[in-house]
Amino acid sequence: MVNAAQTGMIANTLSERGMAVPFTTPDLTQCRVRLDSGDRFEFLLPNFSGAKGRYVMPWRSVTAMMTTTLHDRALYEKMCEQRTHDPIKLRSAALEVAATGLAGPKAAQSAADALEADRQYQIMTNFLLVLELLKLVGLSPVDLIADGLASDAAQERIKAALRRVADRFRISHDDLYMRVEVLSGLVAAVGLPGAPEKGRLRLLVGSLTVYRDTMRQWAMTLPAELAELTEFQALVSDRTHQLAHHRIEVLDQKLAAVGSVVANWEGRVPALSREIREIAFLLDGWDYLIALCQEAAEKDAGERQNLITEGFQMLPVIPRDQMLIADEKRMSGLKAIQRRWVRANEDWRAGVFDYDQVMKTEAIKARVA
Amino acid sequence: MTGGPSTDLDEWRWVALSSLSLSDEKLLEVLALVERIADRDQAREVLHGIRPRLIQLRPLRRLHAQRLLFRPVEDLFDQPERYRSHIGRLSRRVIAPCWQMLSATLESDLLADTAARLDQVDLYDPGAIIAIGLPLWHASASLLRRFLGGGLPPGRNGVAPQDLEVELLEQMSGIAAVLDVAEEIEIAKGRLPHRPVATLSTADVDLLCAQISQLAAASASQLQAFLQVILARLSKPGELLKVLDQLRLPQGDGERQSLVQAIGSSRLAGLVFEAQDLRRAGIRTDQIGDTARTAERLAQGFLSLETALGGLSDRRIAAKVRAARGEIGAVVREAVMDRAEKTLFAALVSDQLATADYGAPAAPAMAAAEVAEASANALRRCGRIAEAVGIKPEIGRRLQAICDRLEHSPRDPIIEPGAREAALMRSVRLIELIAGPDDAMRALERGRKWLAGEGR
Repeated sequence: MVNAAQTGMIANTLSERGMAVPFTTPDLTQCRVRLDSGDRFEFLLPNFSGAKGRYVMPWRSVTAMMTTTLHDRALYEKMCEQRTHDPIKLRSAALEVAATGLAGPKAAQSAADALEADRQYQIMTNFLLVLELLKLVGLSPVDLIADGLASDAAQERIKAALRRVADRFRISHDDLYMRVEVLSGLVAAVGLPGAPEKGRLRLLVGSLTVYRDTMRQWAMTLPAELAELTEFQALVSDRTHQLAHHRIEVLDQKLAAVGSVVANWEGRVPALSREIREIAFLLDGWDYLIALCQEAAEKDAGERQNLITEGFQMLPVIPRDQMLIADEKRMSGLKAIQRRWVRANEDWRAGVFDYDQVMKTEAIKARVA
Repeated sequence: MTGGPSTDLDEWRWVALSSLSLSDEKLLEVLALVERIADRDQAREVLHGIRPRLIQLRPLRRLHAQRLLFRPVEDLFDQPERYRSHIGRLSRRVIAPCWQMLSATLESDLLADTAARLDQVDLYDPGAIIAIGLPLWHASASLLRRFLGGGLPPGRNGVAPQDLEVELLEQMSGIAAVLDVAEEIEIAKGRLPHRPVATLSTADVDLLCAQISQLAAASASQLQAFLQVILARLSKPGELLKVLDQLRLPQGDGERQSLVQAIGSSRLAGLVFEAQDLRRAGIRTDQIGDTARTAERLAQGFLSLETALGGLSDRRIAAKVRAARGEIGAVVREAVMDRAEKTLFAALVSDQLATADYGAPAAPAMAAAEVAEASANALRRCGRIAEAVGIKPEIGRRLQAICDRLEHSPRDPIIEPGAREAALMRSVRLIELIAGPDDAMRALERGRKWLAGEGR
């Protein structure tokens, strides 16, 4: 039995917009999920009849309505098990599921590589944070490497310096380590401003301008209706870039004083965590769209049109409370164009979903990770 | 490996062979270089060698005047050995004399201008390609007609109508008819996905309806040429015939229905011959996927045309279609199923041996895992085709047996206990590709139960 309510096309807030779930079932790809009043997941699906609005329904109604891939069943299980309530946790859950091979060998390989890269990046962030803290007690990177970083003398010097930092903050040595560990886990998704390699979300913000320019360029050679969809995608990516760029600048200012964050832990970390979470929510779904755009860049005009239409369906439209760039009327008009251009992805024989389409989604998943 | 190439052509064969192991990006770079080779024989040798990879990659090919000229006709060409007359198809054999005559007769300014503009064109911009092609197509259609009517002064073009077989002359006339509607064809092609086109969007149907109405108002022969090309691109050509059948055309209902019957029957005949060729052609193991896809396209094509034409009232045609379905069934049964099953299990064993730990396949196992996936995909297609070609119970039983074997594969004693979970995930993934997620879910649950008990 389908238990569905309808909702408008523009969300009021980022949490109301929800998180894009990298499912592989064609009708569920990048569909959005959010928490209901009881903290249970509710899914936002396009109206399949073509009418206005979207359906809001729990997972059991989704599975009553359509067959889902094994990957999606496993991902949903993992989401419930890990209570993935933000895009950063959802990404990790999705990578763990993809690494099992349920989305094919290429996606498995990319997911395993991405999990390892995330782990390494967090280690590097941890190290950079420690360096910042050591500076507070007068130990510079040059001093650290004087006898070789791994030497016993250097290790002893670091421990002694960190003890001095802990004393200065009037916290225990263990507490200091715990705070650095938690902070590096929190910050790694964005990365520290001076890090030698940019963090994942910081890179994603940079890719938004490439996406915007590509869309604008393609709009010049597309049929008028599709050009309208493409221009809108360029506009949304441009404004998302502005918003995310500004938020990261603000975050960087706060992270510039690492000592202050570690010292005033209770006062500073919840706000920092909220800000990073908001950046992740704002950018959520764009990694898939950028991969879709890279895929489309290699295709002929007809295939490119397909992917643009598909991309519009998944577009993370900016919520009202962030920046109003379109009203329901405009969205409704654009949605009508998208419906006219979309091609069904059904198995010709049974009318169920087609694994050829599932595998195209899996190929994009492999690019994203 | 052998001691190396001995002639020029051998060298190019060597290039083709070596290119097969390159990454997609590098292979495309090789292609771009090959397309600039002036010697067509040498270029052809390399292209022939790397064609299987190109079919998968579908790169946009560099355009030169000859390729641009024949671009609107491309969907109608068959290899000379597979060509049959009177079904609206053309043999590639006609390209050489046709181009020889046209390149010698077309205004040299037009050819030079076309070449210069093609060097600069954005291959992703169908409108720009049409703008360059239009003068070439119009001039060529007109010259072909003058040539066929004996209106070109002898000696200038190097070829005279009396030098050519009637068959080739008829095909040249067919080319001229298509070139008359080249602009409409290229507009439609620019909007549709690559062939075979599986489904049409509302916008696609609207465009095709507008084009059909416009061409019908101009002439029935132009409409026929346009439809022949577009139908050749569709997996379900009947869909377009149904649309055509509902349009109000100036020709009136009777003529429109005759057109639907004529063009539908001609496409049906084309599919019958393709089915025969499919069985006759030897199938290499690395072509199982392509063969399964072709078999599926043909089965779809028959079904959709039969529906659009309101059944097959002509007994002779009905018998031919029945026989063609039998040919597809035989290919599915004998070539695809047998080989895909063998390849699947060989790849699975190799993948299991190469993967010593949990998690994602290691680099050497990746190739084996991809082969296993491709084989599973071919088997899924067999299952989909089975009913349409009347072999559903047999294929159903065989697929079930393959899935059972896959389900038990993680229990093979060769697999270390620590690697069984990963082996289970690989086997259920393949079951899913063959039989769908519900069967795979059941196999996963049974497999986990076994792992928690005796498989620990």
